Amino acid sequence: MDGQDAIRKLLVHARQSSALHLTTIQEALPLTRSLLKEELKAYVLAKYLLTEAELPPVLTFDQLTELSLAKSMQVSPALVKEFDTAQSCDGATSAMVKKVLLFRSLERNLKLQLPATRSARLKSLDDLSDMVWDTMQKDADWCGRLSAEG
Amino acid sequence: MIKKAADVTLKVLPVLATAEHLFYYEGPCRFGNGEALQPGYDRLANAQKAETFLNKVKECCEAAGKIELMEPVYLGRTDDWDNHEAMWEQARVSADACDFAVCMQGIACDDLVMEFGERFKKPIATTPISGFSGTITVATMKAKTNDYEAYGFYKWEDLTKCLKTLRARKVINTTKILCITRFGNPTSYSSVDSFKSYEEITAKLGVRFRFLNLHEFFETLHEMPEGGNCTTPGRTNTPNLTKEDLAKAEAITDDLINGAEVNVMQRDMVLKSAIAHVMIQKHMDLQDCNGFTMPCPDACSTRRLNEIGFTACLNHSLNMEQGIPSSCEYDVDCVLSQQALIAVSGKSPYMGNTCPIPMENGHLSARFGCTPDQLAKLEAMEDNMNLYMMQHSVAHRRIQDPTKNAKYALRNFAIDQGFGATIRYNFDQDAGQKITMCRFSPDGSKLFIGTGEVVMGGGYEGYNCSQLVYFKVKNQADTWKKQCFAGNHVTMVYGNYVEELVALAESLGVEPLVAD
Repeated sequence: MDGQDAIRKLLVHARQSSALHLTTIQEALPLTRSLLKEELKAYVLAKYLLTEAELPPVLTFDQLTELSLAKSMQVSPALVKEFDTAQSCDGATSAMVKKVLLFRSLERNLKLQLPATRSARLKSLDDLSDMVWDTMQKDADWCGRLSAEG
Repeated sequence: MIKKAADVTLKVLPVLATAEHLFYYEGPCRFGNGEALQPGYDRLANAQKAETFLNKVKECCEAAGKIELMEPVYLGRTDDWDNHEAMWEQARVSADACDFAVCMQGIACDDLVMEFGERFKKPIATTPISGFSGTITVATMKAKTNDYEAYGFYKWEDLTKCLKTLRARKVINTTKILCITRFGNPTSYSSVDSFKSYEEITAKLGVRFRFLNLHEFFETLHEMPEGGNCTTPGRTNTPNLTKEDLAKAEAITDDLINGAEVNVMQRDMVLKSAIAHVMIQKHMDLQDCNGFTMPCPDACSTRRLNEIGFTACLNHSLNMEQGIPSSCEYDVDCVLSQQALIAVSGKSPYMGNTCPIPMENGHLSARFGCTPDQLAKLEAMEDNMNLYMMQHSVAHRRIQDPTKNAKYALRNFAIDQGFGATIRYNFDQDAGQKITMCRFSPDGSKLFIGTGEVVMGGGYEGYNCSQLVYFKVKNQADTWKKQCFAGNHVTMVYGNYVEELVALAESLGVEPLVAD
């Protein structure tokens, strides 16, 4: 298997895996907070082309994004920030763009509008699932499908 | 209330100017691809950029110190090019309250930042996150006829420096000096090189002056007599000495005597100077002043200082220790110069008669305060061709460290009668210490700035006004030439603050005169 094939396989697997985790969230009735947390984490890892084994014990959301960029750029995470000094005209870094694309994907697939400022302040994957849970609670279509126990 | 320079904060308002595309399209103003071109993307992307910006501004504010970072103001628009009055009304309260607006903008938002500057007339800055937009905004603001203040920073550290400068400028702009005067002239008989026109200084630098008659002040140094003071008969509400004031003065006296390495004074004589200090701060507090001066010769010749038994030396020392500018000889210029040093350094200044010690015919010439012994010592040293001195008995315990008392002696000013407490500091221990000095010109148009290195002290064991410090400068002639645009009483702090003083002067519209 050459390099191109391996990458293609990895991307197909990531797409399938992320879709599967979204479906689990969409179909859960009731959806519990712990299931959302678990599935969202798996979804993010799939989207970011990362595996559980690659994660260090303590990781912020920004570090996770940089790790993913580093892996796809095949450079060390420390170098990601240097690559990012070449910013686009609108001042967005690659890490910012990657995070926003992830949030847009969640918005589109879960039919939610995430709070913009809170999304920019996420520190961890737990923060992400808390934000999504709180947004679902305020959403007419979602609130009836959430477990009352949380 | 005495609001010290250290208590002055700069209010910084982050302004977030963002644009949001409402439709999918590509073209010369639209970057990215795929999802990044879809409606909804900008909302989240702008939030990411804003968060990065706010974190950077916060870091700069923390590095600058004494900055109050306000909640951000949002100037948002869509690609309908909307610009509603309601948005500006919402921004107005914060804009009015701020001292400085630090802006984040990108393509298609520059006009919003400019309009913010035009509407609210506050200094604005663009930052590295704004990219080309920062240059566009700043250049346009500077070209406008209304003298708008706009800064463009291409490095975050430059924002930090600017925050420090603008805070120091605010310290100067909000300084209020209590001037105890005998004759009501702008200058006293011994400091005619002080500010010529208070009105012009207020108009130029924002500094305010409050005045108190010398004799009325003297009358408040004792408890209220029945029927009021002789200077204001029948006015029984004058702020005379109370039991609480006396207790404060007693505590200061004991602290000074107990902490002194050497004390040659009687307690009751120290107490008289301490009472004067407590009462001066009481008057400053009542008039919300944060700077002080009173005349020496004009007051001395009334004979009332002799009669009451104090000089203002101790008061100036204790004020300066506390970071409050306080000058001998009704020199309001020196008070403001001290405030400039306090504002940029956070340190406690010293001040005094300042002049070169020239080498003439192979010998150093004596100047007021120099002793033959001191000159002999200096002559024996190498590198003595560029010597200077600063002399007044208002040294204090916190010249080296504004948070900790150094060793000191307590000696009287008046030799015969033993009154007039003075704190003596031995500058010998600080030989090699770098200093920065400054003084405004009498018209407030220039700021003399110099540097030096402490060589030795003088007057630690003396009386009268014999306390002094000798220091060497790089170029005596150039320092003197530039000092002559400013005046005699120069003030100094330890450390090098030339860059900060130059930046402060420029931001005040004052010409910095930096000695070589």
